[in-house]
Amino acid sequence: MYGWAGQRLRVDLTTGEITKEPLSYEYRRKWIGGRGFNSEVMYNEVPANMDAFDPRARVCFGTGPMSGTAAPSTGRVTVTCKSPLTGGFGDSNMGGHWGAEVKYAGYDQIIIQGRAKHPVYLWIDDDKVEIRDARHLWGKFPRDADPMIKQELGDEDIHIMMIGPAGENMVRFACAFNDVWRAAGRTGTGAVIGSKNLKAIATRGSGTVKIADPKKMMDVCNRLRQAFKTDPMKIGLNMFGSLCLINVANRDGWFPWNNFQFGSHPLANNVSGESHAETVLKHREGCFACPIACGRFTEIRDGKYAGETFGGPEYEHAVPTGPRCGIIEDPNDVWHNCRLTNDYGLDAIECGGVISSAMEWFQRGLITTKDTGGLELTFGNADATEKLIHQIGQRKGFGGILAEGADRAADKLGLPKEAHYYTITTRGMTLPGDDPRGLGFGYGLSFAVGTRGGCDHLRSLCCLELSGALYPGLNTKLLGDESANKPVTTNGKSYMVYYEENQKATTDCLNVCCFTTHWSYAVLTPDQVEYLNAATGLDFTEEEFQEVGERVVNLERAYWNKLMSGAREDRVPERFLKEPMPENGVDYQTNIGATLPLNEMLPQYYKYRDWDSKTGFPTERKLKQLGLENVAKDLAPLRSKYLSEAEKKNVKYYV
Amino acid sequence: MAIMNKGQAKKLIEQPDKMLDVLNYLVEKKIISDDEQRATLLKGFSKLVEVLQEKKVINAKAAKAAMQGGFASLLETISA
Repeated sequence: MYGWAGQRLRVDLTTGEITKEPLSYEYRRKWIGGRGFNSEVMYNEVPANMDAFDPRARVCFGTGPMSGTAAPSTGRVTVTCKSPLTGGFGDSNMGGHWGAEVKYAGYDQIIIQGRAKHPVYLWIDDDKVEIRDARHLWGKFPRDADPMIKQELGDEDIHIMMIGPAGENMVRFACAFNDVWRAAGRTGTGAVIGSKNLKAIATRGSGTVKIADPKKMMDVCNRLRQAFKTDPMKIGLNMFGSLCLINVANRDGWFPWNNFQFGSHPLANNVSGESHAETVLKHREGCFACPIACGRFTEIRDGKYAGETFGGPEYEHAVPTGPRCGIIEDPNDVWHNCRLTNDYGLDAIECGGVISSAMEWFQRGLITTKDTGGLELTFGNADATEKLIHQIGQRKGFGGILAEGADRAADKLGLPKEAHYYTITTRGMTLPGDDPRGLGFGYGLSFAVGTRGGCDHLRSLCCLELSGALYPGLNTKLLGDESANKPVTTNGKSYMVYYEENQKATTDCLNVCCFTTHWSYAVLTPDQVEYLNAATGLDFTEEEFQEVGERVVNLERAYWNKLMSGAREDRVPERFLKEPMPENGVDYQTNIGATLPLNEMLPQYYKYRDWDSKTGFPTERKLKQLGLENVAKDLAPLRSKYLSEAEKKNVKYYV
Repeated sequence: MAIMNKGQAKKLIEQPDKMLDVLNYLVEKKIISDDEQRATLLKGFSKLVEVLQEKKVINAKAAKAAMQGGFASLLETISA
């Protein structure tokens, strides 16, 4: 078999049973891999109404047919489970080297189910798979536990997926890591792994990936690597990491200052990639086979945190527990918080989101120091933010309530409905640090409809509007409208989101990094089809390839629909709809006065998707077109039920 | 080849999001098939230009202009 390993590994931690299941040709062709394989398992094996922490629930780790090959950036893994944060479909994607190692060990996918009696870790040594005691590792930070496992197994070169203490404590937005620092940040996958008493999966793979046409494969890959040399986004990412976006965000007014109350700040450059590179950058890092190398490694060199080191930060790592919480004067406070969220294994976006929501509740008088355990939760209070990160990771004090996520915390605290106005979430998920009033109206639409909640900076990733202006002609070629590259316009945005969601889904099925494609544009969809066919020996057309992405999006959407989450929940935080972007002392800001015209784009988006405009459910026609007849059957009795519930107009913040 | 009048073209050009309505119009007029509409949605605007050139609705020069000017250029070409 070429491209794929051809089998998946299933481990039941309750019974200790370990099985290997072949993956048929039809199955691989229909779902390709990664997110596709995982979504299929989720839909068919995890009932939508099952609790995320039910031992019978699955957590899936999917690689793709390109994983471990010479194609650009092929070390990624998609982690999928029922999200304990949103209650709906959850997945996240991480870089590093572990994905390639899993593939070399001979697996396209790992499914974990059941719950071990005590903490364990999994040791995959090619075809030998063993469940080992992890009680001595429980409670340890990944940077401490990783070398302990390597020493125990006598191999420094193995790669390890791991959770931190937040996952063990089932913080609803804990994440999974591999190679210590590379995070699958969103939707709370780490909490589900922790609920199974699984600390880590250590992996050694000594095999290889068979390539159907090695010469063609190398020709394509060499051509693409040449293209990266002059790609403008690649250059920015390599030099300054994703922090290269800080000054862009500040100029274009999507910098989420004080929980999105403003879109810019005069001191934003304090935490920019340029400043980071000059002051605390220790070295740059790349994931497996990556021509970009956007990873950072940081060493704080002065102040009270001098000597601290950590992998990162990313833009979405530094912004949430920094500027979103009003912290910017001393960038070391921001870098230190990044290190803490890494150590505990917390989704930095959600962590900053819940803290900044609480800060705004405090600002508006909805909570007081009586609620916070004495913490003065004013924006800019770095000490209080640091204390809360510790509390959240340990599930203690007021942080223990915030560990439930912003919307659940508001309800647990008994706050009025007004509190949800300040949580900046969609479907229970905190939006990343990207204000759609400035980043782009396409992004705003994608936040509303994303199939894992309002976090879809990586789901549709409308870089055609973020960086499209750097690639003249591209918006015309794909969308027929060059003006779609302007963020603050609705031109072409409904089609853009439809197109980019499909494109990102197939990219996640291949499990290559989305920074290589439709972020930078060195790799376009025809290139992906070319290397997929060279690797597998198959004959995918571009239409068939993109249709797989559309199938995945619709399957994930149907999972939400089964939970009675549809058109009514396709919303963004009201702040973006109601509050014109204010100025904040940055005279070059470009989007003053903007609001997000979501309702101008949403009906047209439903038409592209062939989703019913009243329910937001995929039509029976669409599901059958995609070969999802079983899904059509599942949704049939739910359509009228949804409509009768929707008449009550009670939006579900989470399910 | 003119397949719509200037008023129809102007109306489409003024819409913020044009792709689906243009494709629906072309299907309705039997200029393109359902399959060609589907392929265009999945592949993007360049596929539409390719299909229309294959069907000789537009010539090579107009196709090249459409790839530079987008829907504004294309709709101008196919309207009279």
